[in-house]
Amino acid sequence: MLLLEVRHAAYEVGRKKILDDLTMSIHEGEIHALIGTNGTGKSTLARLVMGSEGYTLSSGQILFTGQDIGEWPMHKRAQSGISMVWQEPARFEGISVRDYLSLGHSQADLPDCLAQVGLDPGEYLDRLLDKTMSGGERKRIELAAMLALRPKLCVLDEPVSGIDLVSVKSILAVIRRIKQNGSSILLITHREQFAGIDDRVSLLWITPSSSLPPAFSGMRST
Amino acid sequence: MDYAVVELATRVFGHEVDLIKINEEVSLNGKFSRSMIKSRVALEGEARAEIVSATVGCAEGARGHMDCLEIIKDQAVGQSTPIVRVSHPLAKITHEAAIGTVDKKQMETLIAHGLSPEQATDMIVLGVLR
Repeated sequence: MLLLEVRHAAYEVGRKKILDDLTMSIHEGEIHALIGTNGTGKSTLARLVMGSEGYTLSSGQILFTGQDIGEWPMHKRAQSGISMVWQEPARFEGISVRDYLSLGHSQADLPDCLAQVGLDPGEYLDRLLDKTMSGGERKRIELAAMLALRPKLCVLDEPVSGIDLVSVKSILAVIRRIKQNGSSILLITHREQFAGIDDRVSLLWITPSSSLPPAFSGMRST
Repeated sequence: MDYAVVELATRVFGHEVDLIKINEEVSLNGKFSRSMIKSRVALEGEARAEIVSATVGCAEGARGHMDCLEIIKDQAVGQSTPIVRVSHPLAKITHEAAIGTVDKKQMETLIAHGLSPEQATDMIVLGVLR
């Protein structure tokens, strides 16, 4: 069953086209990787799906569970089951990991969610999400939040950026667990090797298509 | 006093027509003395805050930092005046100040986890004041 459909989406800033006639879909229970080099509009698409302030399609549609969500504010999209891990997650003063992981899902086993992303619950549950936390730790907390939240659609914007190379495999395993928890995943990355866990893959590129880098040749494209 | 350490922390929530005035000063006279002045202020309604923080570094190795954050809503007005004075070449004083509405990135992060904009604002403000 189709969960998310992006139909002929275009997005412009001033006179500059960021996205042009983009069509893609995500089915329930699948990981759909969106690959592209820097500047192709991957993160822009993530923000358009999530409904960030100031991000509205110039033309086209975004449908979630069959409903056109183009005019919906972000909180309505989130409450309908879309959530997102940002490329650079925010930090907060006075908010603990426990507070954060408890948002909207008090039933979740929080220590288990932390353990699954490789963080010791005894050490991290009562730590603050402030600037004392490294980028890698913060990213893992975001992934733990997705395990706890179990959204219908999880948008992961560069989930392995800031993660050391040794730990990348374990992060990919976490992404699989998020899927096993029942979430569909839009996986945004510029590193094609991380698209190996996908069920489908799409490629974003800057036209002309002849400028496509050789590394991408042979990839499936929807 | 050499190697002295001082930390001043202020957390205030101003409502309606509150007028908040904070004046604080640290003088680092001892060698390798250290200080931190940290101010966290949230304002709503027509509340106003005027914060003056001063740190003076007068001795070898003295290190001082001032960190002021004010979150304002509605018609509230925040003002921060850091004063940095150094009279010894081996002393160093730094400051940072941010005044504005609730951070958009923080808001969006919490909203994407299912909070309403109002709930997200409350959580951020209370976190800052905690």
